[in-house]
Amino acid sequence: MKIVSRDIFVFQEKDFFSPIRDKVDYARLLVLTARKLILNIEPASITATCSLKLIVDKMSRVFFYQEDKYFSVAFPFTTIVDRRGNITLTSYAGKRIDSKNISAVIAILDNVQFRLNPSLIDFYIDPNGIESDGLFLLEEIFQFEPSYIRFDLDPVLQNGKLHPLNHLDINYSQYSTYKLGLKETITKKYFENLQNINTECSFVID
Amino acid sequence: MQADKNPSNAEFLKKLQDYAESKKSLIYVLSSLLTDQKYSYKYAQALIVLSPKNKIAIIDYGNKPAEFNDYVEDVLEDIGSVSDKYLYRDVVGRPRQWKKTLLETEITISDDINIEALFNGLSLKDESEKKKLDLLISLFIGSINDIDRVKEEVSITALDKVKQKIQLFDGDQTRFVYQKPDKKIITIQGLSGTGKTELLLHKLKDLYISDNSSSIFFACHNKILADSLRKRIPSFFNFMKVEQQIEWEKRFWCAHAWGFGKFPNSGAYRYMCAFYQIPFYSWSPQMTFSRACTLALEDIKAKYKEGGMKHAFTYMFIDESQDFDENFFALCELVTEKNVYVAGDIFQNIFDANISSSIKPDFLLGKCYRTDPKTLMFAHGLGMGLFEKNKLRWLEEKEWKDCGYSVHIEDKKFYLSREPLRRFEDLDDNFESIRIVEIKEKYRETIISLIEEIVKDNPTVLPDDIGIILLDNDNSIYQLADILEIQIQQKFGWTVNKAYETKERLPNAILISNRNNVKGLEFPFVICVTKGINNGSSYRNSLYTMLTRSFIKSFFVLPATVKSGLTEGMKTGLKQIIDRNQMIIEEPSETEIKKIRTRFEYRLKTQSQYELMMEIFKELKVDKRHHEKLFQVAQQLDMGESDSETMRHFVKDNLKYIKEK
Repeated sequence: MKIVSRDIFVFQEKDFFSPIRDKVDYARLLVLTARKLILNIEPASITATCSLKLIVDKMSRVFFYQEDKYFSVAFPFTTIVDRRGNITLTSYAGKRIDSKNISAVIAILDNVQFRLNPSLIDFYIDPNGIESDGLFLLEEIFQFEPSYIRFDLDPVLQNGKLHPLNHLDINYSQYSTYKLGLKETITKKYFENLQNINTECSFVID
Repeated sequence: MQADKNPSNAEFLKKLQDYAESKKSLIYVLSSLLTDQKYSYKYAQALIVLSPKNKIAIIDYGNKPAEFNDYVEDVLEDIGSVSDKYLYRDVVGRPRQWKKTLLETEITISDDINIEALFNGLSLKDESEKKKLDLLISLFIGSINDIDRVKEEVSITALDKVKQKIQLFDGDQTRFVYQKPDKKIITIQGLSGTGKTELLLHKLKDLYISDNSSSIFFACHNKILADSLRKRIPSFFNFMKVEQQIEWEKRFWCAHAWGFGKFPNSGAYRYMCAFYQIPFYSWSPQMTFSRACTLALEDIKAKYKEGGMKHAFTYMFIDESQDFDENFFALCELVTEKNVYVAGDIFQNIFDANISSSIKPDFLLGKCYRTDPKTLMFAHGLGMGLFEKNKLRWLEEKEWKDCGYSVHIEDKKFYLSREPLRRFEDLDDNFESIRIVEIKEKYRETIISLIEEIVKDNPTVLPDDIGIILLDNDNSIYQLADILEIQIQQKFGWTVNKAYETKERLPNAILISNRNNVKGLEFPFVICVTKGINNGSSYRNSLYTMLTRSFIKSFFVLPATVKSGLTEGMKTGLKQIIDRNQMIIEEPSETEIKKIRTRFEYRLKTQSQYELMMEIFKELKVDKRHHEKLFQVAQQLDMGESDSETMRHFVKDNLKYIKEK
């Protein structure tokens, strides 16, 4: 089992904890996570309260922790960690993921035309831009299953069994998301084991 | 000079002109306010003499005190109303207030007047008075500044001084905007950063409001430029307090030169075809723009053989004229009633072939207003490889002059220098505008410490005052940018704007870019980073353009190794520029010039890596089955910018190993 953790600094929180509502949001989260993983810079002196954790066992998922809110998504890249802790990421199609194509993906996602019409087929490639480096990677990302799951402790919106204080939100789209109520707050460990096929299952008992 | 010469003031004007030339100072002589071009006065024998750092002098040379007094009152009233219109009044105050300290009307001129003594009598000491004066001058000549930017207080740091410097037109610029043209096509040329487009806008505004029935077309070469201009013109008009609405596509068009079949207003040529009811051709390999223009020209002439031709436009403006050829200009000349104003870059790419065209422009803007002359000189020198044994580009004396250099040749040596700029005159003479920084350990540490230094020296610096430009082409620059992003956030708490992701300039964020996304931008501080200097022409040209993006200081950062390509020659070249304000370059010998020329002409045939390698394969008779492998190796090693000689060696060397297998 590979486990890689990274602190999320205060100024990066908006990158990782903005709500995910569609695949474009997922793609952005994914490449920003990849950027965070491959940049192994010495720990800063400032303290961070948030973190991310990549767990590769049979599954490959990345977990994000912010106080009482945890969520995780699939991380569909091959991860190789060398002896010094440096990380190499490759997409399943074999494309090496580096700073340049990460920036290229972000450039496409931020493009005004793309935001109006998120189509890679209609995307106009500026000959002087770096976007062409990101097209294939982004196309691959769009084909993956995001498998979003979030643990929520929500005293504000709490509403009996309709919106339990502790619950899991599964999937992100409005038309497909649903909740699973929890009797009590869960630990990070429990949240991780829940999604690991190599650990014992949890049971829904109604 | 706007005032008319006549026998009674000729002597005085000539003396003034000589004085201005000998002192290299800016003096304006007007008979009325230039702003808005609507002010005129009955009394004609008075002159307004304006010069920065000296009181405004209104001079009577007709000796009619009563009428002269009316004249002065009128001028003051008008300048008061103009200063109110452009929101200057809060800063400069009412004429009643400033005329005590900033105005002199008691001067008489005689034939033996001493100009130097005259100006000594007018000179101002107080900094805030000088600033007010600059603002007043800008009102007189219509070089309106954004009053929020220049503010009231006198600034202290170098950064604020340059940022808040009040911009005034120089002689050439004033003449371009206000002089009545004596021919139909007016051309204006200059280096990039000389403010050509800005001048066109001033002229445009002037023509648009002074002639209510005029129709004007502003044509650019490409769509992107036209789009950005279309956005810029309304805000410029607002800023200049133009009260008239812009009547788009009735009186005013701003589009690219060609246009699309469906939309008559989409381009200059397209509109002409619709206007004259002649066939419109769209692009095809057989139909170049030049040919389309020739055909249109013939069609129009044939149609109106018997006369009766109407004009499509009153005026036309053409920007980036270097991208057009004469057929388009001829067509424009034919369909325009009054004048065609043409602005172009003289030297957009330092490897451009004919920088001095055979036709002399009517206005040549030699001064580059963006960059300090020292930085510009060093950037030219570095870009053209002038400090190296094998120079990459050589200009003739006339070409140097057209680029705004003063040239002095002695013993086969060229002494090249540039005049100082008003924008930087408030700074110390020895302020440093360019520095070579050698990296001792890590790129990031060097860059961070440079930012620290900038912040320390300029406490008012904002994140968006700094641009970091990574010159190389390979992937490592993107990693460096990612690391810098985090460290800058940690250290300074600044957001980072990676221009290759956002494609725009963001407020309050420090900009990091590769070399492709900084066109048209300028920063007070620029940090240019490279792994090593190479000889590729596109690299050298970027090097030149990137170093000149700054208007206070450029840092040229590269590793302290032999491989970096930084030579002693470059360092001494820079030292010379700093110490003596000039470049001293040995003239290359005949054979050298020939060599430079052939290499240069070779570069002009822009070849892709593929074409270049195929040519070399052919020459070396490389077996076809090895081609693919060699391509791959070349790509892996980022050989994309190599010249043919390097590439030839590369292919030869690698071929050995491929064959041995």
